[in-house]
Amino acid sequence: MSAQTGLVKTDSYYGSFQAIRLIKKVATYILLVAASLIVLFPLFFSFSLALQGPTIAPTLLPDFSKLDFSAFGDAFKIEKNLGRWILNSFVVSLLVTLGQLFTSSLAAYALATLNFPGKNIFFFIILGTLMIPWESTIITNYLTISNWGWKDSYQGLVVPFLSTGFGIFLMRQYFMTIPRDLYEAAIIDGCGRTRYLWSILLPLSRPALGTLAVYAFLNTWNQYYWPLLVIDAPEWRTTQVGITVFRSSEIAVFNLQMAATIIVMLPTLLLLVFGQRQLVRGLTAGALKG
Amino acid sequence: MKISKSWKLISLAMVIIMLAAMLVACGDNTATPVPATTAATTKAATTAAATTAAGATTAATTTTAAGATTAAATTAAATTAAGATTAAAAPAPTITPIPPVAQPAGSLKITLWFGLTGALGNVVQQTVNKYNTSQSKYYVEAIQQPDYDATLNKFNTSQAGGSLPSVVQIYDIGTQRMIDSKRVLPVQDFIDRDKLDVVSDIEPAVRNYYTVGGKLYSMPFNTSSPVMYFNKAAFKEAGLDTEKRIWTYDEVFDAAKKLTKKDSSGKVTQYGAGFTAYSWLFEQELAIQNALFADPNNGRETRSSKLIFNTDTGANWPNFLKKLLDEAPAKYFGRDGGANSTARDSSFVTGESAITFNSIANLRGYLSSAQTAGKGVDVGVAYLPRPTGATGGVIIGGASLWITDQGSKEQQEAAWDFVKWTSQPETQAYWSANTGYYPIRKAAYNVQDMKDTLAKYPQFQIAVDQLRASPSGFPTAGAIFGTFISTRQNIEAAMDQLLTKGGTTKQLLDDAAKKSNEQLDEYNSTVKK
Repeated sequence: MSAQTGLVKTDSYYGSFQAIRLIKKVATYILLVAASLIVLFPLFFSFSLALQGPTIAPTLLPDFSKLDFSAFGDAFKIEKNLGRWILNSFVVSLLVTLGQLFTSSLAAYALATLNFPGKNIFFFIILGTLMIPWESTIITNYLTISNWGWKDSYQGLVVPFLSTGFGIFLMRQYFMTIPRDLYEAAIIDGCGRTRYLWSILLPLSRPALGTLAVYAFLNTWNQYYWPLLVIDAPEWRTTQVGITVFRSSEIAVFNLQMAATIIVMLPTLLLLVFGQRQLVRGLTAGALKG
Repeated sequence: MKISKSWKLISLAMVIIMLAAMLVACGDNTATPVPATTAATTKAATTAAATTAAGATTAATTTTAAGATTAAATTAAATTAAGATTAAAAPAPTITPIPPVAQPAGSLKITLWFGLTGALGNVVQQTVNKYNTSQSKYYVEAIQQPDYDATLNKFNTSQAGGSLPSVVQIYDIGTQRMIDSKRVLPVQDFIDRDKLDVVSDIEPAVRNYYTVGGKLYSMPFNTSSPVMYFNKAAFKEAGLDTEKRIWTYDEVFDAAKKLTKKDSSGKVTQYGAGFTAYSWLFEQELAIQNALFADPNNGRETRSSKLIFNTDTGANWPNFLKKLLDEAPAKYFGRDGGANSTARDSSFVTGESAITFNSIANLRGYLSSAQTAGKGVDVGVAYLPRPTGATGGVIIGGASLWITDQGSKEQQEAAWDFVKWTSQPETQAYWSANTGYYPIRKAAYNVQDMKDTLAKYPQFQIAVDQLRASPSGFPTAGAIFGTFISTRQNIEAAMDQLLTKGGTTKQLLDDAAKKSNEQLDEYNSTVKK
């Protein structure tokens, strides 16, 4: 039967099949374009606002006959520290990310692979820290940092965030999925514990490490209240606190504000553009086994 | 292998970006005379100054008064000289950077936190620069904070760590919380000690706001009050009086009906009025009707224990807005703040709505934007409308300077010296001329700078007259209590509910008051007596 029906299939049959495929493809692209327009709308709109000059009556699209790009230059002219702030945010986010990857994988390694008394209790204590809202520890952290004289410094911005219960939990769960046989085989072959972590476990855990890194980086980049508290000197500010100077009190003039926001956003945006492939691979690598 | 390649790419990109950022930062610093190293050097200088100052405390305190008066005299000259150029400059929102002046050797440094940003923040820096160049004994380092809220939050948390600024600019509704911080020194104590005659010359409405329990706690700095803005051109077209200052609700309603224009399809092309749900105006309207916001006596003598805005008097303003919205019809832009406020302002300066209600501090922004928009909007100002027969007046808003107990006695003296200087008529005239806030001193109106400003912005005079017509009393002094921010949110939520979904005004206000009172009780119970 199937052979017979196969014989009836003509060119036009395949043609219509291809047409359907084409329509599907076009429809998908239209949907994707529409979705990206929606997602990118805030970006377009802020760009549009940045080009409209100092006005309190902005419109959706700028007047294309008199685009005013001066806001981008002005942002740097008005705030000498803008470049420094971007650098600060980068250094802080990078250090926190590296620190969290380091502490989380070490702690998770101990919890997932090694055996020692009280392991579960430690694990539950670490889980317990997840239940403590960050706000409730702000004052104590602030006291510690200011007593150590770490206000207005990178260490003041970085150190309180070097370890995280979430990171340890995430890494532990991932390490648990890696067969224990691997560990035993490595040990039998004469591989030390540190070397096993470094040469076998971590390379296998890239997806989890990638997720944690992105999460830590973005979280730190977006911090507002902590940098506001521990930083007094303008040159030590991070971008999120810094860009607020472009907002004007009493009356809302958006061009400078938006220009500064775009400037500040650009580094992370570039990072995403360059790192997207890696990021997507990292997030989906564990989805299929084999 | 591919993975490591793209990681290399990422790190390369990061390095490039970081280098670029550094280049930008360095390039800018070398291009201008502001050295990036000032911070480090001033830090060293402060510690040195602090130690030397400690030894000279007794000698210094006796000389401050004399030193300050001469300083004031010299700045007066400086102000008028500079004033001539600044008054001529347009109040355009374009900002030029104001670098702080360098600290003179041997001066004692104190820190000021302020919450004004943008063009206004620049004027603060300019004012501080004036102070720093007017004398060499003290040096004020002005540190800009993101906004008023952030300043107060940071202040509250920093109390724990002990490192507070010597002077801090806090907004009007933070007054009770500042007093409750127990870390402030009332300026009245300094004034009394120095036997100065400052208080009697401060605008009564302004003085009353910052006076609690008979004491002037902080020195008012930037003050404003709300007015009704209207488009004179539209008023003329509709045959309305553009010189009329006092409007009742009914008159505004009738005017708004006349002002509303529709095209042939029935679409509104010009709204009679456009507004947001703004709790500040709600509070103002209570005062205009001589009603209290908080019991007892708006918290002016003893701590506020109950909020009592949910009365029929309180309901008048929301009801008026509702009537405007439904029957004029007017345009409603949602709860005040952020994009909603911008939409309202934009609607007014482009002529879409002919009347709006906002602070007089927005006058210059409105004037310049109306000009750029080029829709022929001619900005007029009138008193905030009132129900027929109302006998009260408006409350001031804005912020004031607080002296903290931070640092040595000498630093507190430095703080007072600076605060006292900001209240000088010349400083106030300069401040007002460059910002659009009221000068807090009556004597400031005699300064040429201020006269020029009033000649240039005749609308401003109407706001001054409205403020002076305010009868003194607890209602117009304004309420103070510790949870003003959340109460404002509750009121705005209630108004928004009324204006968008409808409901009984009294009921909505009752709910808002109930919630606000719970929050207030909680606050009051945590404040140590």
